[in-house]
Amino acid sequence: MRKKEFDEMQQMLRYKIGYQSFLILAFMILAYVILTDFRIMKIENSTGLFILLLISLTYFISRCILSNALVGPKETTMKFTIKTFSLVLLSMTTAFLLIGFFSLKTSPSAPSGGGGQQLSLVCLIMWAVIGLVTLLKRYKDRKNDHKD
Amino acid sequence: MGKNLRMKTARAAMDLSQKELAEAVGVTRQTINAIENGDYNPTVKLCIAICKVLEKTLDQLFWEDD
Repeated sequence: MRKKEFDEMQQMLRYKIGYQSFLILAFMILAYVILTDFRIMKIENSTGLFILLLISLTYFISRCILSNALVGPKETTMKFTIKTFSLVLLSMTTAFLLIGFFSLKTSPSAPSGGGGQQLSLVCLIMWAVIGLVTLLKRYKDRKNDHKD
Repeated sequence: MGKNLRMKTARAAMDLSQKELAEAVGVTRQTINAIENGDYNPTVKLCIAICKVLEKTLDQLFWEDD
């Protein structure tokens, strides 16, 4: 059998987790709209929605890691790894250049628009959660390997 | 769904680990583990691939007796 990106069990799990993430996002947006409309919570509109997206994304990635559905059985070659690394490096450089270019164009005294600190905090929490989940999964796998 | 002990026995008889069988059929080790533990119901396509590697028929590995 030819190796695929994801095997059939992984595909099934990804569909399931993806659907759950979508539902979580939909209900969070609904709750957010209700809360902001009644003025119970006050976060800048775009920032709040972006935070909800990040939460949903964190849920999807964490569940995929725990269910072993994040990466497929296909083995990656050194050439492929170098290609991926180069692509990530290129994207990061482009992003930095674009940010730098737009920061130079806008005046330094201009307000940042708010929400930046909140987003940074959520991003930090997101990476911390993903890191913890990865560690937990590795620990569980090692324990299971000893059992087998 | 109960455990698939026949598949486990056939794999052990061929002196294959879960990882080796998984590599031979192109799935992850966790998928083979889930099939053996009865946690996942594989498609006919995957069943046939497993049967070919373990040199058994579908009946011998996956048919449930009453």
